[in-house]
Amino acid sequence: MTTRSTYSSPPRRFDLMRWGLALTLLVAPAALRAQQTGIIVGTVTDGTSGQPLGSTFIVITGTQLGTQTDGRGHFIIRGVRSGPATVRAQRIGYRPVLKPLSVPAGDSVRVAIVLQGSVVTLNEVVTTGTGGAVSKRELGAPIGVVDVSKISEVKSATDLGSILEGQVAGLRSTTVGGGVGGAKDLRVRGTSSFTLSQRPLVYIDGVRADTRATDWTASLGNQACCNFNGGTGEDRLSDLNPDDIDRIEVLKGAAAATLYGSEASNGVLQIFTKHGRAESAPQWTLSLGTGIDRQRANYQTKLNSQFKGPDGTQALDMNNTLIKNGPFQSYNAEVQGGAGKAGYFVSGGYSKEVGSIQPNDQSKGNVRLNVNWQASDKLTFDVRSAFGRDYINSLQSGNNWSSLTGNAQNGDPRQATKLRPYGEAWISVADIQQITSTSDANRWTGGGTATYQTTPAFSNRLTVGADVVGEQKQRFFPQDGAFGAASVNGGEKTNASRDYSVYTADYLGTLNFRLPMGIGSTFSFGGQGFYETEILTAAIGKQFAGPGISTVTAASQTFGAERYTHAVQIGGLAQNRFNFGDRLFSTIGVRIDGNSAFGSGFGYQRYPKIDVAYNLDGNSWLPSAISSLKLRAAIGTAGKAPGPFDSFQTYQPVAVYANTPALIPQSPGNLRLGPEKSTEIDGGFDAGFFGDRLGIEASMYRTTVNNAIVPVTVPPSKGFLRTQAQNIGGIRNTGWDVSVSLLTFQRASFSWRNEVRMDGLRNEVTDLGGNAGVTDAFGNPIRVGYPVGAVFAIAPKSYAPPVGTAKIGTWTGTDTAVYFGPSLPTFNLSYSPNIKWGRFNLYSLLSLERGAWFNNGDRPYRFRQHTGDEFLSLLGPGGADTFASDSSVGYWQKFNSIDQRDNVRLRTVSLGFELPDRYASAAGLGRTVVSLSANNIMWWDQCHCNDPNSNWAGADSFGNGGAFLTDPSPRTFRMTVRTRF
Amino acid sequence: MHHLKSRAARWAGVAAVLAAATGCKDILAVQNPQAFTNEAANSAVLLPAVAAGAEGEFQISLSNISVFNGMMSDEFWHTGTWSDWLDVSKGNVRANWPINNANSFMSAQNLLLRARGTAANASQRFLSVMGDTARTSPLFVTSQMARAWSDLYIALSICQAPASAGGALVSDTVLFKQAADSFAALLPIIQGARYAKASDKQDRLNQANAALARANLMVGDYAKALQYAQAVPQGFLYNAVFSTNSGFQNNTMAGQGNANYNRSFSIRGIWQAQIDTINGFLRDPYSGQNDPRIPLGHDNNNAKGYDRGSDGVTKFFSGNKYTSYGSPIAISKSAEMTLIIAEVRWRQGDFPAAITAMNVNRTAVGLPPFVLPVTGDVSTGVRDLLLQERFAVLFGEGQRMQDLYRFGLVAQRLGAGRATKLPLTRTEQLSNPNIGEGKETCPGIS
Repeated sequence: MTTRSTYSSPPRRFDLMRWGLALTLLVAPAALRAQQTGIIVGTVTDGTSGQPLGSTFIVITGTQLGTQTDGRGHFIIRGVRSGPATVRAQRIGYRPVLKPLSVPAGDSVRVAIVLQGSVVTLNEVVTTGTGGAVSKRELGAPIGVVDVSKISEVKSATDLGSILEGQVAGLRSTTVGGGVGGAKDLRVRGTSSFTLSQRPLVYIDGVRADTRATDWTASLGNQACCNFNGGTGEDRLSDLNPDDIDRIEVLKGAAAATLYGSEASNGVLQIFTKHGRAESAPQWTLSLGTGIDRQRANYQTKLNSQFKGPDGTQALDMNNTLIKNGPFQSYNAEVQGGAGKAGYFVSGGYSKEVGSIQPNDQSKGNVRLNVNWQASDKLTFDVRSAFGRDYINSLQSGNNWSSLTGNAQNGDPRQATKLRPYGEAWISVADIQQITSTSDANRWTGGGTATYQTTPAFSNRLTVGADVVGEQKQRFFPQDGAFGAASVNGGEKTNASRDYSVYTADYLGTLNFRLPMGIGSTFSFGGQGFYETEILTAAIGKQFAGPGISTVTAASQTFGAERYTHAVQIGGLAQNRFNFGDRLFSTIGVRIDGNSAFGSGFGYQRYPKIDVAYNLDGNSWLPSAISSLKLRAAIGTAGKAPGPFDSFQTYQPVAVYANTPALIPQSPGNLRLGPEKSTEIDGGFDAGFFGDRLGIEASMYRTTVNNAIVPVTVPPSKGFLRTQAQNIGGIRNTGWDVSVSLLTFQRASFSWRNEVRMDGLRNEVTDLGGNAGVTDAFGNPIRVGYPVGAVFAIAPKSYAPPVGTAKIGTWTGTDTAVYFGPSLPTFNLSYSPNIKWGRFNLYSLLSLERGAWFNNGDRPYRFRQHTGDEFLSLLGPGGADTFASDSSVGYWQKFNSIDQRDNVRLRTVSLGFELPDRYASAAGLGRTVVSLSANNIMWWDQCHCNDPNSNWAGADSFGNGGAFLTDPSPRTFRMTVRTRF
Repeated sequence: MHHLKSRAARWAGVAAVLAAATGCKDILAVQNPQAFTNEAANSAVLLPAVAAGAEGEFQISLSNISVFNGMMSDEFWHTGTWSDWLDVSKGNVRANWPINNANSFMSAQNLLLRARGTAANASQRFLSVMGDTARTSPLFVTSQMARAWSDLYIALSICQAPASAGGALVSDTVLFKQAADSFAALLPIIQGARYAKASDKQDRLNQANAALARANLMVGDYAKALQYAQAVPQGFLYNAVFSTNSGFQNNTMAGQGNANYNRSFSIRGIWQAQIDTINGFLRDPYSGQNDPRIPLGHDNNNAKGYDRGSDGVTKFFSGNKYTSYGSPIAISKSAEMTLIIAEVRWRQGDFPAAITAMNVNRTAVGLPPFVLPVTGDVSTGVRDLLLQERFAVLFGEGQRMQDLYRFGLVAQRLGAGRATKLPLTRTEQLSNPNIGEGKETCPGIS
């Protein structure tokens, strides 16, 4: 029997739809006058290098006509009214150019446009969360843009998370461990929730995308299933092919993301994939990559080789035995072009990366077809279809008895035996290497966008699409292994699947008109909705009769599990952007949402926003050194819906006795449960200096959440298993972020560009509704006046020397857990210089993080297991225990190691070399670049750990306050050849 | 004409929107097919499952609490590397015990408290749905029994706890009395309940009598303890049932103490010299023979990798009383009743009768009978025999900590400075509006 909860809707919930339709009907199409037209054909090149520039926006000013250049820098625009016209060309990283020309009737005119580099982004056009395409100079809200195609030129990366590292101030993207295919921590401007996902929403070409890292144990129960490879799950972000991506727009917070409503308080990432251009010749891009992964040899087993076990076995140091070269290869081919009024982009790619600590590898294949077609002067279609397969053979890592390096590191070398040469206390490394744990995900992401220009002043855009993920997981423990510590006896097989789908529909109408006193106005209205389902199933077989079989059915005990979630959201939006001349712009808007996760008594939610932008450039009183300056301010609200079934009071079906069905209290539920609403005030400026050779974008912001969902603990004596979600919490984020871009030097043969990103953040819990003892999903305390996820621990208070026959003294701890610090950095800095000298291109990325603390679970564990270099160095001759070693064990049996995550990390060094044309052409190639790059090369820290960014829970998590048995993120060395023809 | 067409088009559009709105009316209503709502649980079809949940959750909670009770006593110690388990094993836990975060220390006690809450919730539901007829329903008996048993085990384990769901703190003594009163009140209800089979009714009566014997022993009403213990037939056994079927049903005693699983606790070191590692038993200290009631495994040559606990250091002896996730734990049994009778006889000064009672159990498992000590303090001698027998008969069943506590033997057996019982969890302390920060006043320290 299933239960059903009916959403009680307010009587006027479809007002917005009614008004939207009425408005559409009222604006009748205008008749077009017949007139003579001509064609503009042109090229766009880089003013310094002379190289053609693709992805350049070309617009005929004063009209709706426009296009983008293809990879050869070519463009063509038909149907241009004859006579004088002005072509505007603009591209990320360049100053826009206006080119006046005369269009002959019934003929074509050629134009060559040269763009000069600029580090100021005010003229970039963005479309995400803005109610239509708009120049950044008109926006008061903070939006970052990542030019992925440009980054791909200098950095070899096979996953989106690596692409985003250090690119946008306030956007944190870092690998948190788990080997190849492991999870990323991706978040914007800190933490704004106690319990809900911290990830920003991700859209791909207007279609909502899956970015989850599934926690199978939490979802299906520990007997039915498992965290297949420990604490960090496979991250669906890594399915995407970075080579398909043109650019990414980043809405940094609630003020910018208001139009995305009840799911957007963590910000929004909109990924735009590449497109072909009508009437452009096919352009091929091929890239081949090779290289290795090799982990840094900093595991705490370097002293192991000084010890022998009781049977004389020489203990092994895993730095010498388990770290290997993991080969890498990648192939990617793409072609873009167009014929007639249609353009296309087709790509296919394959990569295989083998981890340094094996078994661990990832194989990815992606194909994409994007087609756009201008059906008429008014109507265009854009259809996208991408299929990807992502196969990950996961490293046994994380909080996991069968963690490979966990066992190798936590074994006492004095207990080494032939079967357990690391002194493994739980499961032997040899047995762990016989475990297979795989994820095989098939994913289709696609959709279509139709735009219809009803009149020159009124346009419509409709986007529909879906992201469908089918993931098959397997884990197999062979029958003849000794896996008792992991509670596996006689082998075990798990087959699991995750079927996830989200369907998106999004309509936006935009109406331009003028108000009295010369005020320009753009009114946007529309609706957006998604329908999301996820089904997890698992089949488990335990205990095989003997070796050689591996199906669930062949096991003597079989189990199954299933979990289903379902969420629906519909909403409407309306906004108006006013321009008061060419300097002052302001936008007001509102989003209204209903979501199935809201309690039945909660109704629809409103999210208002307003922003103002004022451009001062061109004023005579402005110092000449300031070439452009925009002041901006925005305030807006966005939400975050609770878990799909959090509002329900539920009783959990379980089995008791032998197999008798039973019900026990599960969730107390809350019919008044609503979304968390974040209100953000953001102010700042975008400025260019010295002819836009120096660009600075700076923001200060304050985000307040007054109805954060607090997981209120119900007294266990009342019987309920779960906490009660209540909208009674308060969180405040106060921060700043700054981007500095400096074109230090630019000549035809030499240029030096520097990018600096900085941000600071102070996070504070302001209210818990008077509840004490509140903990987050990982059991960490939440206290008013401290950050969300703050690190608390019992600290040493006093020491009494040993008395009598006691071997060691006694430590006393503090009476309560004391505060050490926040779990996220309070200051981030990244610096990326890019030097081009002749045919060489040198790029590097260095990052610094300060202020974060974590519970370093590995360090005390090593002492408690009587191992690790720190402990072993305290032993006496022959490995005898000493007062110092015994005391250290006693100390670490009582206390946690609370360490700082402060670190400096050399994330990327890349050297590219462009082949001379004569060699490239001799091989039948076009522009060809050979690059050598290394990623995650080195880090400097004081954390007593392998990697200060390790996080035991991975993506989508609050567990960033702890790390345990998590392997450092991969260190990669790559050679890539990329050619265009 | 054009005007009319335009109007028609507009009305058609509005009609389309209204039709869409009507069609979308329930679009935001979603189902949760994984759980039942509170209202759904009132259905007659589900009430048996509610009752089963009450008793089943209580039974399942016993494995976790038995681990902790054992580690607080001289049964077990921690052989892993969990600092909270180590604190329990060392008796370091204190009133208002500070913790770093939610961890397994709290879960065992919370499971027990939740089990009582579940049972009380079920009883309330039966009264609400069935009205007065609930009092003759076996379902009501089931939930009330589970509630009272939970009270009894809470009192055995935790020095202070709320008397009811979200209630104020009371001592373990009060909870023992509350359990005794509840079981006493249940006897006539069981008698009047409409069981389909007479044997089912008798089983419940036996369970209630056994519980009354134990509860009255703890309260100190030895006459009643004797009376109820004698009412329990030989061969009586009431088990907590576990299963390999799901994680919820697993027996943690096996999962953490048996060599086939994790190895995070083992028999305490003070017993190690008395272990026959070849045949796999603890030797009876009085006869030197292997005691079949305490089977223990050991990997003598470490060929199977369980010579040591999961800390890699401490010698590990597999607890083979519970070898599987599905091994049952005795809640009560006739052998315990025999020991209650023996204890009452000892307290009455009838030492020969006490010895006779204890020997019923010993001879049943092939151990030589005790003989009455003839030298020294006979009372103490018999008491020691009684405690040794309780150790062997009730090994790993969650009662040893209370035995050491009530006989004042914690310091003698385990040393000074140890907590004599488990404190209430921080979870209950902080979330219960009738308790709050700093309100705990126990456990005492040895």
